[in-house]
Amino acid sequence: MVARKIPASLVVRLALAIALDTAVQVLWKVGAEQLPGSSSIAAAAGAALHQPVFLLVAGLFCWQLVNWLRVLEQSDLSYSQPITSLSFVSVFALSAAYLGESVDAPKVLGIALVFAGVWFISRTDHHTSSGGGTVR
Amino acid sequence: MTLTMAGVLLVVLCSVIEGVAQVFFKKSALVAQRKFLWVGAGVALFILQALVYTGALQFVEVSTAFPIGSIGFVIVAILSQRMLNEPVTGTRWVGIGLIIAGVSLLALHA
Repeated sequence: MVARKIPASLVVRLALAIALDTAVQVLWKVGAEQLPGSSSIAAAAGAALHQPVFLLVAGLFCWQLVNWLRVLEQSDLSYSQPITSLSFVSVFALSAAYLGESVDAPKVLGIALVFAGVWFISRTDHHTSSGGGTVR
Repeated sequence: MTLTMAGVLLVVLCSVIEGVAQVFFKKSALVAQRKFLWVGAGVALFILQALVYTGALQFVEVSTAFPIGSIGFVIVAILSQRMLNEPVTGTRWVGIGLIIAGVSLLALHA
């Protein structure tokens, strides 16, 4: 059906997609900082295989894929994919809170623009179902 | 063509590959049989995209590549409209434009 209201199950899955994306990006950054300096991509990849944090990232990637496929079973791609851009905001919030990165006016404006964009998209007509299968 | 321009084109290529991968994932949700073929093709394209992106970063800074990559939202919207017959309205384009502007501001001041 074409609707504007978002089913609760889709909201939960989109929130999970954003949370998983955020976790992957932050953990990837933490893991990359733990890698020894190496001259080639192959050497860096080999070293990453021995880092537990990268195994965790790989597991989260798989979870992310399964969750994303469920999101797409319930909604339009052009509707849900832009909404996941909220992970940019959550990554910057976590970076500021825990990694001591600065928060200045352009960043606040950038976050406001992302929120505004997601709000606009959430107001558009879209094909959704409350769970399970597709509607077309 | 300069190396920087080659890097920028590779980042754009990455966005196109990722957009097609997303369409494949959505196709897997629309078909009744052989869903795994669409998922497998999407995952394969994601791996290809990661390799091309790694190559692109040899020529351009991450702070340059990141905002350019946000054109992926536009590519996904176009592909969704053309290949999946999704309703991509003017309001949705406004939202996508605002997100690209916001992501670009965040990336440029990272």
